[in-house]
Amino acid sequence: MAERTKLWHALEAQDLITGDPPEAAAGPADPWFHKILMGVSGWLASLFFITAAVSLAMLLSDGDATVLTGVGVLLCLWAAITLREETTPLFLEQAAYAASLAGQFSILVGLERAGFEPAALGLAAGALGAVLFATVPTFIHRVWAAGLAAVGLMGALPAGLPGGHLGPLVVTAVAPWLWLTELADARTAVPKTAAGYGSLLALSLPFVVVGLPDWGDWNGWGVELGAYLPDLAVYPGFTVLVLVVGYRLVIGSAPRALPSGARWLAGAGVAVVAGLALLAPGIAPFLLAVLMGFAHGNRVLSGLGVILLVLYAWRFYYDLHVTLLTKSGLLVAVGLALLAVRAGLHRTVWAPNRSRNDA
Amino acid sequence: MSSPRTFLLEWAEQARIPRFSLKAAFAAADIPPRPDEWAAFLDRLLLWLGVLAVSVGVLLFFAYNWDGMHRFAKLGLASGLLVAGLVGVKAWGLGRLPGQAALVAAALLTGALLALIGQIYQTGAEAYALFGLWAGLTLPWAVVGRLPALWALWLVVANLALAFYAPHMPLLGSLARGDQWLLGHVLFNGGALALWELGARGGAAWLAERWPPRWMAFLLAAPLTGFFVLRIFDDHYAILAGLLWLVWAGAMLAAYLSGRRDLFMVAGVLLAGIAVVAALLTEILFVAVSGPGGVIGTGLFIGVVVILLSTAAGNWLRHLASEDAGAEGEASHG
Repeated sequence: MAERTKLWHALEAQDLITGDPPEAAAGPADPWFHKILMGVSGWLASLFFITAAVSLAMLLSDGDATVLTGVGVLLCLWAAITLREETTPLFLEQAAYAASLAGQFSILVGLERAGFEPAALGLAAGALGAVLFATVPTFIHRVWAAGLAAVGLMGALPAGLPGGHLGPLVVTAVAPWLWLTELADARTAVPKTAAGYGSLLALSLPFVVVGLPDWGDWNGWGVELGAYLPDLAVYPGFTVLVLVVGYRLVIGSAPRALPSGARWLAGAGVAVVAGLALLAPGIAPFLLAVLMGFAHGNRVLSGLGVILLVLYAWRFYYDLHVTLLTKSGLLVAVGLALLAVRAGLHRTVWAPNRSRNDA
Repeated sequence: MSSPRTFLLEWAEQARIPRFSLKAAFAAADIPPRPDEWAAFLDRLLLWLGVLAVSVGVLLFFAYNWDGMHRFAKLGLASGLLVAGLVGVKAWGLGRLPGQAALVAAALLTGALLALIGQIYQTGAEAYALFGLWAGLTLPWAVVGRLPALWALWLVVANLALAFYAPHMPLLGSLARGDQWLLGHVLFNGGALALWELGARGGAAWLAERWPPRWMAFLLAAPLTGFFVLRIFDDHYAILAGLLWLVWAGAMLAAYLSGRRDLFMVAGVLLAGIAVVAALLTEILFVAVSGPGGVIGTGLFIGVVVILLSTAAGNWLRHLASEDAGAEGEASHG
């Protein structure tokens, strides 16, 4: 509480805040693990509500698609109305969250039973997620809705397009944009934070859970990539993303008065990682999440980025249809390249800068 | 624990910060890292990712049966890399990041060397023997190094050793009924967590980091709760598993509410409890009901119970957090 008041007064002194100071009686904001507890419990409760909703639809109409969809819409509507209230008791908030999840499931199963093709189902999921994101202001719900919208978009986009990985590329481009512009407008900061988390978690589906080589098959697009084959129609997009965002973050952090050689070296480091993204595109979203989390003081985002990066690295090597010897060589080469960049940065950027500061 | 970032986003949502001043507010709160902080972060990131990639690459190299290489060459290469790592520790010292990274690399390479010896000489050793020896050989380094990352690695290796050994334990093997790997994790991580916290309360500064004990607590809670839930549906030894779970939950709440308060641990116990209650109700009620009507009612009932429990848990956590915040405020004014 003392820290909150101190921060308030510091901002007030610079005219960066308006209104009355925070009340002494007001409790601290909920920590992140409180949100996880509520989120996971809501998800668990929704499993039972889904069971009840589907059983109800079976009882009323033998699983008719219209009834299933209708039950789902009613559940989502009730949840949206309840969660939009400013002072909703925690019990009702949890119930509405669980009902919304159950309703979303019911709608999508109903549409599937009505004969929606995978791409159309993806579009429907994307639209549903977007509508719920816009109408339900609760943070955890927004994370889930953004994730649903992102998964739906990734499932829908590849239809008819070469490569089948355009969906993950688009979401990978959106996620860094959300984080980079998080602080641009105070009104949209919290929604962008929620959307950023949702998008990042959604990207674990194609990159970690399913594996990128199988993504085209899994989402119904039906492209067999066979042995590892970079999707040259799309993968350069990931490389460009790393170059643009990585350069802005990393080079932007270096002190202004730097010799041009040092800037070239730092740029080379970014280029190495960008080149790796051509082979392993999952590096792009997860490494950028680590960097952006650090840039914005968001340890949760950085931690999530590290975990997803490690999981992606495991998945990538698991899917790589080359010998263990080749995998070993690739890993050692990558590791040595990273250590070489670090050594070079020490010699050209950090050590001279320390000497300059000491002088 | 709330951070300046959390406060600022809260005030932004309440429209207390002028629309385009959020970035300036973040700067005023000293949240964006300075260039030297960026340098330190990138230094650590490049070093750990580089060392991890090289070490795992070497491990994969020895997993690959390369018949063309003579066994002495293989052993020489593995031993040479291990010695190089230890020389790096001596040269840089454990007080510096490269020295610490070299020690972690040496610990990883020890496992590679043992695997290679087993592969070349076909010793027929069991998996638990390999991991146990790996853990035993690297334990002195973990003790001397005092690195949370090295202890995390050692914990994984020791967990694997115990999990592979569990089927050979007479009582445990029959009790576990195929879930030995779960109980292996439970026994070991419980002990590791207890030792860590005892050391931390004893005043050891390097044990002050909270992520390692939280990670150990997760490795303890997840398999123990999973084991109990499986026994609920399996009906064998469910009561024994339940007693074990209750002892764990009681010990965790007692340790983290009265002594060194850590609400993350309390939240973990509460979440595990909600999962257990849901499993118990599912087993009891779904067996008793029949027909779609029964399923609807039971599904709704259990869902509502879960929500009630999570609401109570959430409110209690908020109350505890307020108490902590109040205690911090008094301490800073006092």
